[in-house]
Amino acid sequence: MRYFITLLSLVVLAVACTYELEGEFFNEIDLTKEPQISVSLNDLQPGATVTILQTVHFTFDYSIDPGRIKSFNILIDSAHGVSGNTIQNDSGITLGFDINPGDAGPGLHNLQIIVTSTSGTGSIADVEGLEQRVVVTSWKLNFINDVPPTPVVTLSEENGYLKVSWTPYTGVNFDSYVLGISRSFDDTQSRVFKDSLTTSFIDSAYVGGYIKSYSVATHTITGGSPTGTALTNGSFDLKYDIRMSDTTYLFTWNKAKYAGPFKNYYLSVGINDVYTISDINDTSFRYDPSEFLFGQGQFASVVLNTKDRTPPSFSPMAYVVTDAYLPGTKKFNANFVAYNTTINRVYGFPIDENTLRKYSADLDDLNDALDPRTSVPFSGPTGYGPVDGVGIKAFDLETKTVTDQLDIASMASNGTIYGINSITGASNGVVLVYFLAKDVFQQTKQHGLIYDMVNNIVLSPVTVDYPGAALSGNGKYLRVGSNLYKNNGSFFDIGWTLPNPSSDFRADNPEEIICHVGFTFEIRKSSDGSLLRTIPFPVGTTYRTYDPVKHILMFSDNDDPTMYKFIDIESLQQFTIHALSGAALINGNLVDSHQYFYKAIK
Amino acid sequence: MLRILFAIIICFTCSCSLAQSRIYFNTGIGTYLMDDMKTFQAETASSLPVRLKKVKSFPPYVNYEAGFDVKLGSRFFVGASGSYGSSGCRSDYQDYSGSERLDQLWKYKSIALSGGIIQKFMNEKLLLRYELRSGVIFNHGTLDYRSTLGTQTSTQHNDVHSRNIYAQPTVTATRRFGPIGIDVYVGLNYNFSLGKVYDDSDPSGPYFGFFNGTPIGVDWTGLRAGLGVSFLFGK
Repeated sequence: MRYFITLLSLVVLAVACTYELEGEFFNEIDLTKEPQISVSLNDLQPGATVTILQTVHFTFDYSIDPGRIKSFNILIDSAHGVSGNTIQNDSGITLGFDINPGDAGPGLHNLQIIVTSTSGTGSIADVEGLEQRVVVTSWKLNFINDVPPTPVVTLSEENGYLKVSWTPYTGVNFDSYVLGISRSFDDTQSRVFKDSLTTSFIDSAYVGGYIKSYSVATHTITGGSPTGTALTNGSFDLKYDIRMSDTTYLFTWNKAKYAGPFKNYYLSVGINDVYTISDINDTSFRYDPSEFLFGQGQFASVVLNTKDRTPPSFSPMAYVVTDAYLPGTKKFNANFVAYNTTINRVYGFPIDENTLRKYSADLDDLNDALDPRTSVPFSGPTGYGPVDGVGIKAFDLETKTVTDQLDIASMASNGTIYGINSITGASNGVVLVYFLAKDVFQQTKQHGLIYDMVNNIVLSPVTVDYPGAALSGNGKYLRVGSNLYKNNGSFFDIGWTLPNPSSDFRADNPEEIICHVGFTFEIRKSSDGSLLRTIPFPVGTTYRTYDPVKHILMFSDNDDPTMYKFIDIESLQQFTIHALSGAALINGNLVDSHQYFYKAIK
Repeated sequence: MLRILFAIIICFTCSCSLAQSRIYFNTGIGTYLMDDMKTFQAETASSLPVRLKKVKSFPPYVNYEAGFDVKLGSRFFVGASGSYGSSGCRSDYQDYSGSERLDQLWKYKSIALSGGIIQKFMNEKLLLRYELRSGVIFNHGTLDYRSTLGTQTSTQHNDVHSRNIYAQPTVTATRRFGPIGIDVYVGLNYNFSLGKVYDDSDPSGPYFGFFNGTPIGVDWTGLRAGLGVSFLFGK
């Protein structure tokens, strides 16, 4: 009995019921009730058409819990994506974006806004982000972005004025014509015409004389536009011709092209002579200089004045430098000239047959010496340009003919030309003239001399050159090199410094020259090249050439004669003088473009 | 556990020859406090993407007990007993796209020593026993999580265990019919020491706890009431 009870209790415990879990909760989600949304594109109903004539800003409102938004896609023709910005608001999302005329070609296109969000059903798949809702809304876009044709620009004359005409563009996206007016080298102006029917413009300022460009750009609302251009052909030259018989110039220039804006021709010669010619057909003027300066040309210019000459710089101007050595003065007769073919200038020099003797030295040595690229006397300051296209021509003043390239050999043999050479710098060249004297050459091996124009005597052998490339711009550089030394007590100044050396040039009547471009002299001993003295010549200083035996120059920082500085060369025996910087002030008769840098006063 | 049970039975069979003894088998209903496990269930459910509904939460359920006691004198007795019970908790969510389910199923087995006094009525045909039981509860549970999304299902299963110490004052009325008695009892089970819950696969590993790290306990505290049959032996 006991064992039975024991066994029974064990069985009861073994088969005792254990709690079993049961029950479930199923969430019925009514998928037929989709969340209500509303979409709005600029208050346009889906399917509406929007005209794109210029950039249009769209706002797209989508009412939904902003947190449910996964992405926006703005597509044109289901391909071209447009970027936008979203702003959350109380009712949902506002998407802002721009459609530009360049986003599609002309015509109708489909705009789709695809909003992808979570489904919002609350199901497990929804909250896990695996259930999405995609809403696609479409509108039509009508792009009007035709590209206008390139305007054809033509120039014609109307009532004496230049008329610019162009082909019109009347597309609905027309914005304006922009007329660009520019000279070929400086100013540019523009005018805007908002009327598509305006297709011409009268330029009341252009008289001719320089090239002017007229460009017409047809602008559309969308911006960029093709441009047509037309150019005037406007050259304006001034030429002169020298009549030796009466030492006058005949200036001729181009006729003004348009009579409408023409006012007059304004001709100036030298510093003081000004002439006004109001007849548009009168394009020449004979100029009779009151005085010719030896070795000094004349700067002449002619300006085409217009009636509305504002600013004055717009008026075309032509100029020449009449730098011939006219034999008009009676102090000497020039019978040799150097002719620079690059700048088309003629330089004349008087040669005293009694002083200059025929050169008969070795021609090879002479050529070497004359070549600035190889000869020592020419290897001075850096910046030398090679001799480039410069010929040497002889100009016979009696016959008024110019011979071609001077042949050194023939020059040496014919006994007529004793030696003329010209060189130029790299840019515009200047002339170097040599007068070769046998005795001097033999003594010094130098190929040049300093010639006293007043007395027609050779003072010393010297080399003069103009390394034009040494200074920027049109600055010329003068170096008076070689062995310049006192010769038998005769007076000489540095390189024919005086613009108008006169017979009464004496110590009690010095020539005074104002320096307008600074430079510096160095005086060195020729024997060992040691620097003896440096003489600055700053802008504004004056100096006087003097005629004492013991002094060659007197300098002054002002007009006070007591401040003159004397250079005593008596004891130097030999020295060289270099103008290290500045323009060719002291030899202005050779550096004609710098005439205005000094002014002779007496 | 079985060893302990056999030891008790051997003690009982030996004692039967010494004094009046009684064995009993009871079946009843128990209510279970299970505060920690309910909170644990709620915390776990809150970490899921959808809101689960608690469809079962440790409801009262049938429990069983068996024991014996031996009279000491005319009014006192001592004895031993064992009991078994179970309950569980389920949180569930299902929709057309998937389901989420959290299940807890807990069983306990306890052994206890008891002692009390007997009050006799109706010429000893009706007996009232006032006793106090105290012992150890061995808890075994399973924690199951199942997630289904579309055709993909993932599950997680843990077998866990813990131990409690409890006391249960109980009043039992017995109507005697000869050596057989019909028992009606009511008691209050109180778990005054809740052991930490460990995974069976890693008994020395980390215990289960709340999000804040506080350990959870399986609290079977609750009322116990039921019927039973008892057999009297001896003089």
